[in-house]
Amino acid sequence: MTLLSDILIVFGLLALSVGVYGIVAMPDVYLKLHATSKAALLGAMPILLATAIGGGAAIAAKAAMISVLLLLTTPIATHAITKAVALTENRDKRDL
Amino acid sequence: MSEIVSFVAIAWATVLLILCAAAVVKLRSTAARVLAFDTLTIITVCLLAIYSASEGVPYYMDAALILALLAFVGTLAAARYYAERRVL
Repeated sequence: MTLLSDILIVFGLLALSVGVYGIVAMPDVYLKLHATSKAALLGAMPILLATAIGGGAAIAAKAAMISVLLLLTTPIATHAITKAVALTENRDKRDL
Repeated sequence: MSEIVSFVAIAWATVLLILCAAAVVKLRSTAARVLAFDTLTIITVCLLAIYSASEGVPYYMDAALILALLAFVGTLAAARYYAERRVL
């Protein structure tokens, strides 16, 4: 059980690192969104699963709540940012 | 989880937080800054979850839950204000 949660935490942190690298390295906001939105969620889910495995019942219940919340809200936030960029594309070109 | 992995994970997440905060400061486009700030809060949620599990204290998970909720509302409001110059 300990080994499983360790592996999940390392995997999640690797995915989060890929997401942060995508923010820094990608040249365009759309590409940044593409890199980050999936990598951040893929990093957060294994870490919350690992804390649910390693912690007690209270921690597991709250980790499940946070997982459901992130699964519901992260695509909506990403879509809001994408829509904002698409609406302002002609207004200020340099902001891309 | 084991002691050494939780220590390394907390240090690693802190380095990611610093990198993401530097991206929030350094990036030139407003939408990319909003995106970087959203990622910053997700990393903070992960850091609080790791710390809560390693200490065995469930109260940090409450902070992570509220932070995830408020970050979503904040990102939505910032993106909407950036696009349409109004929030509601």
